[in-house]
Amino acid sequence: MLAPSYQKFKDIVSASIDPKRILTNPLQTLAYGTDASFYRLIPKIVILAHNESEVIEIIKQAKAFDIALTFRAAGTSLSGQAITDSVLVVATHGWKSFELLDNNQKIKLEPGIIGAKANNYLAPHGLKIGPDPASIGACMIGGIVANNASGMCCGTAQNSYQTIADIRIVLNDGTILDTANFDSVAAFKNNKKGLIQEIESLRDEIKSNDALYKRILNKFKIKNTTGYSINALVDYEDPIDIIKHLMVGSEGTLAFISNVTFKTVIDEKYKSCSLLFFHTIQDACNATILLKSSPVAAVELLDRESIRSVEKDDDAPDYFKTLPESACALLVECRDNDLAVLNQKQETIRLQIQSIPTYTDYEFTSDPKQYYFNWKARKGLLPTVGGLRKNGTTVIIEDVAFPLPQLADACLALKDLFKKYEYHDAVLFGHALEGNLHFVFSQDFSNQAEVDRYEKLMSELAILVVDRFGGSLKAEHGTGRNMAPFVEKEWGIAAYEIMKRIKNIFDPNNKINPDVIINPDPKAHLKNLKPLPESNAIIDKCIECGFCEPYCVSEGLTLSPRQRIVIAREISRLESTNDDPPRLADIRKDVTYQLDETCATDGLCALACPVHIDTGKFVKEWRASKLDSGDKKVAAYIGSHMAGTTAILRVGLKMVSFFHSILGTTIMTTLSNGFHFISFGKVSKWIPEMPKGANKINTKN
Amino acid sequence: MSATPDLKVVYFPSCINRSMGKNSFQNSDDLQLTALTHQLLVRAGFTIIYPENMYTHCCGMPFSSKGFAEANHAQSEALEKDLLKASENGKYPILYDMSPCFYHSKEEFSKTLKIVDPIEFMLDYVMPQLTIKNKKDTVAVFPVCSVKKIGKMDQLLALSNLCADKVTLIDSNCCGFAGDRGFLVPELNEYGLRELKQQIPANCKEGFSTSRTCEIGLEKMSGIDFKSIFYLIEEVTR
Repeated sequence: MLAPSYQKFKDIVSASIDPKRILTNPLQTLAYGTDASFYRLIPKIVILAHNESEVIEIIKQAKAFDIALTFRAAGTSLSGQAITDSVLVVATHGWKSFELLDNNQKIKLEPGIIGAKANNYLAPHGLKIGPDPASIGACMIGGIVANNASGMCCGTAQNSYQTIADIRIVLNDGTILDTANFDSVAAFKNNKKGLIQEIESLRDEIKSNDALYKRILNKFKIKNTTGYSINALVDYEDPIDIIKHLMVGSEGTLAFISNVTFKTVIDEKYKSCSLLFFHTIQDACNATILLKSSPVAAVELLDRESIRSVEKDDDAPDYFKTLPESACALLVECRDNDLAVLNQKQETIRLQIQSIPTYTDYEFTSDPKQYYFNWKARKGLLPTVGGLRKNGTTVIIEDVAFPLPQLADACLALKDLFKKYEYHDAVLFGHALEGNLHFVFSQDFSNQAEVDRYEKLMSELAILVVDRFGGSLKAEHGTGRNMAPFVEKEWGIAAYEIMKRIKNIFDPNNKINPDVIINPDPKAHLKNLKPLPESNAIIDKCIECGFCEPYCVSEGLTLSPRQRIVIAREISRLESTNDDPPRLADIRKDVTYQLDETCATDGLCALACPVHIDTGKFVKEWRASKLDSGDKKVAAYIGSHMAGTTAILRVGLKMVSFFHSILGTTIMTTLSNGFHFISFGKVSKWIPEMPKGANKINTKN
Repeated sequence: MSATPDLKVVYFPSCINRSMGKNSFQNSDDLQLTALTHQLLVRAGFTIIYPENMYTHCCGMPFSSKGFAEANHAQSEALEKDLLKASENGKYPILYDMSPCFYHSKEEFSKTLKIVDPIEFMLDYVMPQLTIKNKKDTVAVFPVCSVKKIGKMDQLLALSNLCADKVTLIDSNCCGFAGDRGFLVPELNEYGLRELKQQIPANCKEGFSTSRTCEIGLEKMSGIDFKSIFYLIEEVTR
């Protein structure tokens, strides 16, 4: 039962939005309410919005009923920024339009386009979008912009903030601002004078506070997604430019993003890379500092534990296993459109770091097999920890950044921190060139002692990153709920007040994705933790990242592989705890069609899964568990009488074909005889494309 | 071309192709797939060995998809045994006429039989024996899931490019027909192929694939004829 205001809200928006796309049942709200983070909130209503006018209606009605809204696209976010217990608006299907502009120098994209698809549109022109997050095969434009996502190559030079040309947004009262449209900008300036003035006064206040001004400039020299992109207030003069850039990294807390225009960047034709091993982390970090001023496209750091994760690979050189414990690797990527220049770059890089000894000789390679292996070493890190973790635990990826000169000390300090709190499976890696480090570890949240351990780690991490090294607590994964309690800690009171005022300017009622970025609860990062109960061995390693979703035929019709797993886990949890039998019954009511019948079991999901889960195989087991012994006898009988059944099918199809020629395109029950064999007793729906029966095979050569 | 003693192949016609005959759009003088495959192999100089008890065999996939693990294993083991015999313990390659069945057997079989998927067999075994005489102008080709899973997309494209000047490779997830699911839950197939029609060029009238049941749904949702890529090869080399 929905609360009265939600019910009224639902009734009213149902008049203009197809009620089939307004979901309130426990199965679908849970499925769509799940993102890649380790937080769980279940929306009361999920709306699969298909266009901007629907979103405007939703926003207006939500405002009228004082209902909070959260917007999301792919739901690959890691910090708890795309979940809600109110109304979730999903902008994926229906948001796929794009337009190449200004001779391909720009591309206008709607929020539901997958990052890799955008790059597919640009590839024929030798171009791509700037941001290159590791999740680019699944994450979507809306989230890329809203989180200022970056990645291994784009650094701070080609992230969303730097490459955004224009944006179209819907504010909390339904007002549209399209910065690419002169009339829209003029109307906005006219109708929103107060808002413009507030932005201008924020800008001027910062300008008159020299310490704050310099602090902002300084902090954004490295990657930073903690809090709002307040560099917009120092980098730009014009309030529309400021608003445009404030939207980048706003995590859906200021407005809805209808479309974005990116300045495109060059996708170099020739690529090579080399895996360089150093004797110590310090050497690797010193090399990174030298590489910063050389023509590298990316420098990724992998600690000893990271290398261990690939040492058993068939393509791994033997010496991987015998590297000293202190060793550290850098994966150096080089790119150019001219092969000769690429070779020159490689030599320049070599000269640049020749003063630092490497453990072995190294060569740059463009050979696809070696190139792939080197990157596999880097990309295999999350799966390794994810695949080895204990069932019931989650995988946490932290995302911090340090000023480059501090990187070596910061790495060692982080490793000490893992040791201190006994995170023995932690691996450290990341975009070294930008001082951006990720560390991955498994975490149990099923008991208070473990939650306390995590709390201590986070508190000490904040001190380490902020006080000791002047770094960023979130570099590219967004603040979300995870780092919201630490925004003030990182930025100090003056900057935090600016951020609170930004939120207040755009969302004075705190109804647009509340509790994300700005959250007064100092323990918000420890609440609403997602349960990950054991369910089935095939799916227990799932980290709910959502990488499978773009490869699933039923995603958007019923459930994606990730959503199937979420539902299976919830059923297991409800069965074992018995804490809400009516909810369990409600979920079971829809589960056969949603989870089972509409899964094609094709297994393409496994190709995209970082831990190689074939959800189709799980669904087959699910089906097996629903069969009774009678079904199995029928199957065994059919199996042992294949000759008979294929003969029946041959004859059955011939009969169907014969009747069809007489009766035309109508439902023909005779078909159920023919398809008894492949459908096991279920009556097939007849379609005119049904083939004719076959003739027996003549086996003579 | 006459059969040479070395050029032997075990042909395992899938149970689907043994029971489903010609498509409704095919002419009366067209051959059904099993007969066409036979003719094509003979033309390429192969001597064909059919496995014993052929009419009793199935790779097991229809059972597996429905959760009948035991019936699946029983089917698969029986098939493996007869294929082992037919191929003289793996001496001769074994041709599958559907990619999904090949993939299923590849996952199931314990012995190292030389089972070959339809694309590889045509590209590496048959095409070198034949001459392309009348290349088509334009065709659409649908890579079924098992082709993606065995990493044969490039080979499918190479094979298709031998046969037609312009090849449209359909960009899609699983078509959603999924064996018989297209008959039972037609909306899955309709949803899966909702962007199919717009991908097919106006002058393209023929589509090809390597899975019979997928082709039924592809025909339904594209409005053009879809059949086994063996037909394409047979026609352009005739």
